[in-house]
Amino acid sequence: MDGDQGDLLSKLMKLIVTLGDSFGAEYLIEIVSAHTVLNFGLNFVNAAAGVLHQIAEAKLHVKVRTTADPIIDMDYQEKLKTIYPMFVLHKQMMDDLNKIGVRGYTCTPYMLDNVPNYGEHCAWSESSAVVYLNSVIGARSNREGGLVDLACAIIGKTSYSGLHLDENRKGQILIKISPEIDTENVLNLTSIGLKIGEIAGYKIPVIQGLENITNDNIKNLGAASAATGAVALIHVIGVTPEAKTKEEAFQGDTPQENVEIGLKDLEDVREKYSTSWKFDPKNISVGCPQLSMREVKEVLEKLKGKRINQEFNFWICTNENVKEEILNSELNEILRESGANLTTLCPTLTPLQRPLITNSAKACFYTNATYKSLDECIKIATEEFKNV
Amino acid sequence: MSKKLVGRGLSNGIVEGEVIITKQPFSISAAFIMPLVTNSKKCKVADRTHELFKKDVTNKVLIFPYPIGTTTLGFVLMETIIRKMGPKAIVCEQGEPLMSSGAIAAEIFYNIKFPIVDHIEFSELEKIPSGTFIKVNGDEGYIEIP
Repeated sequence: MDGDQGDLLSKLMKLIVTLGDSFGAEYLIEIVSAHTVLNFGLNFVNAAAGVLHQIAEAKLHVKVRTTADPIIDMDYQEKLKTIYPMFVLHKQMMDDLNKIGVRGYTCTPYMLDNVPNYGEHCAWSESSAVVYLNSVIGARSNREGGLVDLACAIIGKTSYSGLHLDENRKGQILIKISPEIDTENVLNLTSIGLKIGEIAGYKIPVIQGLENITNDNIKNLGAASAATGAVALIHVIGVTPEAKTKEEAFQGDTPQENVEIGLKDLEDVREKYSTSWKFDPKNISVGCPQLSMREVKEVLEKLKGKRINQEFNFWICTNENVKEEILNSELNEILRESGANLTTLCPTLTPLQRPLITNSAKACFYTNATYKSLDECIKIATEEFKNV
Repeated sequence: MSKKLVGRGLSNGIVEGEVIITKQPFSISAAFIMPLVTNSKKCKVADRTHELFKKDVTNKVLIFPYPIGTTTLGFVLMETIIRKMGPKAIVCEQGEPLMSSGAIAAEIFYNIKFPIVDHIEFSELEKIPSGTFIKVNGDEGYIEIP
């Protein structure tokens, strides 16, 4: 190993160990998978991108399956030609990530092939993915930060602390969903997510009353909770693997707090996080986190026979595999006729021209977007269509 | 006679500065990405859902109960540290690895220290009004208030 490699490896190790020390980790454990958020290309990651570049130059390589967050979608460089020049670091970071062995760019790595097994230790970033990993898959990761995630991927280890330990996965707050809430309604579920984050903060919430929630909607709800709170694990009683019963979720203990979420709370969070605009929208985006195949099919089903008003861009955000599969299937016909854009771009990070409307609670939290249901997004996008 | 509040040092550095305090949990990403993207000289909180919205936290000792938000916050904090445009220290009741990773990485890779101290009860912290000058010692994990 040459000098640069050795020096850099010891710095990366120092980052993991110093961090672990301050949070009481006694040792490091081997991981099977990593996911990094260090892939934006915008100018607010200069310092971290500099370190990534050093890692690539030193020819270090990830030791475990590692994916990264999505970035811009080059298929739309013409349409977004005023925005893409802002991603000054894009090419350098993509080249560096490829060099060190990162493959697959998505915020839902568990929908590509980065899928650890129950109980396995990982070093993931991307707050929405960490919630999914811990809650739905039952694998274990703390919310690693951008750069720490890469350090772990290269060293192949992370600190044995936080959610890697059984006792730290115990539920702390019991949140009951009031029966007055229609939990088949996705906008309600993502609004519940926003409220859960506010209530839980950095504690572990246990949800009662969402027995029929799908994994896709835990993804959507969890992303919202991880935005308004520091939530990394949500137990849903009767649904997630460590919460088959309430007793199991609390590991036999009693909840520290009991809270109920009612209809009024959902109205309040929508009021709080959604922005109203006096102008007509310029962009409408659905999916953040990226939509699953099932969700994209649902959007296309709803768009069938309709056309997007040419004054808008309508973005359907998903991962690269789903995009490719749809573009090569008969569903591409519906997509083409509707005028919607199927894309891997990140609507939270790409500064799409405002006003922006989104069905994503997370995207709404991080952008000054208007928060609407999928049906409303489609209605707004198609109802004023003039070019018959 | 100054009073010492002992907590835990999450990252190294010793600074003195003027406090800006909020009782609301703080999203570093929501607050700082905009000033960074727009290359602002001042770090005015861009999180419109936060009571510190539009408040300038440049060079202040920022105190809040705990950090929230996505996993970008480590390198967002790192960037504000390297550009010397954000707060000069953070004090909170409960930190988390995401946040301290930004400060630790700034020291390891860029040799710039940014102290973070946590594990001080917020009931103690909230007695410190904004505008107070305090000392933050990340090396030994305490703050000193007048």
